[in-house]
Amino acid sequence: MTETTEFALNSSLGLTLVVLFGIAWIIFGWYLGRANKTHEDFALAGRNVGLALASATAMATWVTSNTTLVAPQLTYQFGIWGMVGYSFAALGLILFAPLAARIKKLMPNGYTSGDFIRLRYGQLAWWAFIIISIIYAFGWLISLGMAGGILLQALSGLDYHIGMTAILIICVGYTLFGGLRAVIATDFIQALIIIVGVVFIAWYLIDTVSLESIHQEVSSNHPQLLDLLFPAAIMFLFNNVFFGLGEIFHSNVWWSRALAFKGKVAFKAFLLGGLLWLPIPIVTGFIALAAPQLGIFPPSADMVGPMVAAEVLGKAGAIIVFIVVFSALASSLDSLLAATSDLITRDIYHKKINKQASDKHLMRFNGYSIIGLGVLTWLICLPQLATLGALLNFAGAFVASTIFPVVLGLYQPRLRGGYAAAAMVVGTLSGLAGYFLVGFYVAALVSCLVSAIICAIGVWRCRTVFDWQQMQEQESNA
Amino acid sequence: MISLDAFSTLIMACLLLTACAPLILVVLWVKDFLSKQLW
Repeated sequence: MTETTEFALNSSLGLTLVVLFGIAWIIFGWYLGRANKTHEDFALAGRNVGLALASATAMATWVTSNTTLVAPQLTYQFGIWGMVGYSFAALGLILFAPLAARIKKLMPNGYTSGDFIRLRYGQLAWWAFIIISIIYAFGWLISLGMAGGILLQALSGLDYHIGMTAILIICVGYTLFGGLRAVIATDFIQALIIIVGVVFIAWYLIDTVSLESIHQEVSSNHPQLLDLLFPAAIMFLFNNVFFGLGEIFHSNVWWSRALAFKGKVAFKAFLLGGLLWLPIPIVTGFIALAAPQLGIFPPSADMVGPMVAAEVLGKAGAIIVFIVVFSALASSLDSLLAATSDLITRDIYHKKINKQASDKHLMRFNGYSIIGLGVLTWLICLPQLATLGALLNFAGAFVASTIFPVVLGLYQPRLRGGYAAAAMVVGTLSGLAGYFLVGFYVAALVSCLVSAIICAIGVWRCRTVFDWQQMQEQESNA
Repeated sequence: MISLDAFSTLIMACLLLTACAPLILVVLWVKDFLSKQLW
């Protein structure tokens, strides 16, 4: 058995697919963008998104390259717990459902998660939060950009830099032309493509290789992958739950959606999106368990999913894998570009630099931010620094520290800004210490635990009560 | 170690649930479209 080095597609076919999809998405984005007349239209799709598009965008955005590339990678490394643990990230979407309804109620005119932190906790906590948000956003953007390059390289042998550049240009293009409206509408189509493709690949794999033979091969030669008491894997499961909660609870990707969905749609959409997402990592992850039987030993663990699918389904399968992962990448990359550019435009530019900026000026600046983010991501992605899993889990130390400040900020009036800021800063530093001293699979756990202790002390020692009305009054003046 | 039965049940149940998702999304889309509630 040797390393797999043959490519299922030739380079020109891979590039042709990217170009065709790119043109289609950009034209669609431009078409939808014609309805954007104000900055609110551009950033929040007019705050009137219905249940079908809302559920699909919640699900599709959470199906990232990480679900299609990292879930197989983690299954390959941690076995059964790798895929089950990854699917637990659905809890993030499901538990965000009541939070989304609360967000709509507290800040009906809000724009970003940064707005909430600033109004609820003040400047110090806002700085801690915005730094964490920007670091996380770049971590995710880089992970997605790298995944684009890795995907094309794994499937067609196309140079990593060309694939990564092409995917970034396409996503920047249609997000720039269409704003959140284009992001949500393309997410709906991408969600359908992803699910149908994933189901087809898994069904074909089961039909060709059979679950019995996969189970027999793994239990004979790699029994730890089917072991329900694999310690590092169990730790990973819990770590992933907190990581997922932190990612969703703090990120403006999800806050901007909560604010963009129609009144009572937010709760139902996140709940449904989470339930639809739950089984997907298990379906994508199990594909990796067939790798040893097929004699596939990928040069990088995050290539295992596409390589198994391409091996079993041949050229047609490689095209399907390519389209599925490309759609998954695009559905997350566009959301992240839109949400991060909103944070830069609203929280940093409008609130800190140019408070008198007109609506048109803000809309234009939002566009420049999208381009700037795309260029910066491209520059950082040029050297292929880490595997996707390692990069992803590094961010866990940052985001898990925000879980309790966000949740308590929404429901508990007895937590002040100083404690919220300390919880985020000390929680992040502790998580990073866990990452380097113990392993990536404890970073989010440690970060969340330390942050929770500081928040608990803050609530216990607090003598004043926050007036929720204050947020709406300040927001209406903002 | 997870048995073959449990392993197969887990994978097949998840595959079935995933396969239902596009139907649910399309039905919701048609419903929203007909009632002009898409946006």
